[in-house]
Amino acid sequence: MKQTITEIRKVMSAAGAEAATAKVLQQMLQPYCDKLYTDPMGNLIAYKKGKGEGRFMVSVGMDLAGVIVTNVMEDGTVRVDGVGGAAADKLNYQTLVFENGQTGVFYTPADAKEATFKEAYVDFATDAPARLGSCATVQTELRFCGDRISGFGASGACCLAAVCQMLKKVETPRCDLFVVFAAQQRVGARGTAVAAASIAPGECISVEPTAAGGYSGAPKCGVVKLGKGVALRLRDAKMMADASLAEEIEMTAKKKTILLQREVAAEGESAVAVVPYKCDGVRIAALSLPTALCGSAAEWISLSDLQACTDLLRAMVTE
Amino acid sequence: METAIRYLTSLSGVSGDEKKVCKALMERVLPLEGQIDALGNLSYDVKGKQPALQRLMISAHMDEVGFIITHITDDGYLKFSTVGGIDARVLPGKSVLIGENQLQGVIGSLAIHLQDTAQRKRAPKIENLYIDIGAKDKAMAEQYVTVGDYVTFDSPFRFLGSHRVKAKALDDRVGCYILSELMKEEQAVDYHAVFTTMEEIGCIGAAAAADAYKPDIAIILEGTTASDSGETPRDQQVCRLGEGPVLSFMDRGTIYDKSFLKLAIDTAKEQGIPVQLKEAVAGGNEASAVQKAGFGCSVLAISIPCRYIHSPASVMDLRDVAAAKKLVSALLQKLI
Repeated sequence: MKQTITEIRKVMSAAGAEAATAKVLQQMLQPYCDKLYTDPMGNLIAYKKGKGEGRFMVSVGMDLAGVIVTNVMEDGTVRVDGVGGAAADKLNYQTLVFENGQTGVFYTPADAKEATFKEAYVDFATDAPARLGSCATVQTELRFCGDRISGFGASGACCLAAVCQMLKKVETPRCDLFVVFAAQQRVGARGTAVAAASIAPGECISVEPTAAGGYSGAPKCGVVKLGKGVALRLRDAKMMADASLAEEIEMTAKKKTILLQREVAAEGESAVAVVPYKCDGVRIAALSLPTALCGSAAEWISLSDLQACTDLLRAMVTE
Repeated sequence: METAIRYLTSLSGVSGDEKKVCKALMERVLPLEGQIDALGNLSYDVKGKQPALQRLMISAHMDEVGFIITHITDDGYLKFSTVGGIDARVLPGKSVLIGENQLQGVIGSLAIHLQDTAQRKRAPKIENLYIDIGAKDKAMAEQYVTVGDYVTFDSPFRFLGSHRVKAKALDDRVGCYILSELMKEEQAVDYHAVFTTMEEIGCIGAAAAADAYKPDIAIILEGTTASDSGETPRDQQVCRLGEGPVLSFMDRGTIYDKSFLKLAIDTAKEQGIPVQLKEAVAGGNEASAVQKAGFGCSVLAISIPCRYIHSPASVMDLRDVAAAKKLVSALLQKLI
């Protein structure tokens, strides 16, 4: 699992620049699928024939929070704007890696009142600045320490790895399985919306990171806790899980003794929220991976939560 | 070119009320016969020299930003809401045209000498503005105006120098003009042309049109904001008039297909057509709806730089318009 996470994280980038991630996943998953294809949005879709009737869709995003180059300045620095919920204060003084492998440092000038994209630049050590429109995310080496995985984008890579592991382990799903490695997930679940329209599933579960508590200084109310299992998101600002599917997930977790916690989020929007708008009669639910300091360079995840996520997905798909 | 754009921008076509523009475009592309759907989109299956490899849609929106009358006061003034994004600061003192009969009115606000210091520092609020049609009371106003009547800016087309023009609704009558011109000449491949409705209030027409046609690829013809005036630093100008049509890599609604964008840039270079990239992640257009419609679609936006967009006095450079038409035509040859 650790190797899969590291391999995936190395190539992940911002929304709209998921091609490299899709390529790595494609190579990784080819032997485990009946069909593996990409659609016009850049989604990678893995299909596995099932025993019974119906279509089960699992959606997981391939993109990370990042930046896109909006101006190239005369001195070779570039101006950027955030993509997919990136926060300038969390990127400040981080090294960014662009799609072509070039790196630069994100900084705000010393006299800037606050770290905002309007004030920020990316400086390059070379004479060749990044081109207009190229995307970048934070360069990071994931750190593994005991039960923890830490580093910028670790949560995104872990969600992808959990779904990959599930796909590798499932031999014959209970019905036709479509796993959508979605493009542009962090900018409004655009990939998931388009994929859902073409797949027309009867059930859909998304897998996404969620901000967790359970550590010193963490928010105290209404949050899931690190190390207490994968979270079943029942509701957020835009999504209400299907009650019968949520019940099935809880019963499956109980039967398989998989650690599961409930989540009701006041804010946020699960990708699966877009699915009912694209197809009729689809039952939806979201699994969240608890992530401390979510969205920062220091975010960390519990490996046991990740394993719970994989096991639960596998059980849901097969039984 | 200028005659057609002058005429198209003179028509009233606030979102939801595009019928005059629709009629004008139908006449422009005769003898082609189009179809109007339930939302008012006007579409054509246009034959080219050969079938396209993929289902191709080209769209431009017919609607413009404007206003709608919401209430008539006892004093005969008209209260209104905006339709589409309009900066309230540009409104006081502007001349407007109301309803089917194009009744003249002026947008009024509290006189400057009656405003206190705090009020003078604040931008006016729409709810504090009104339209004055010269009526002495409500009964008189109601003889000419009904709640729900649409209102457009009253701002005739004018040349600014020899290449630049000023008018209302350049966004996106110019896109409509380009598409209609393309349709009048035989292009390299077949395509589905759509003049869409209600872009300014959420790309409603384009979403329905694209869902019905399910294109594989789509080109959106648009107007986009240019801030290359006054003392705006170059890195905040977004794009510049006279430097060619604008290609977007990302805006607030869409991340564009990189390979389609590259094809457009390469084609422009090959043909010696000036183009520029949009240097900001700002605004949006109906590409956002088209991309997600059906089973997903590769999209490309080709926009004409427009100063003072969504105001009564938008400014464009006609050389950019000609270049955009040439670019689309050249691009279609690459889709064989």
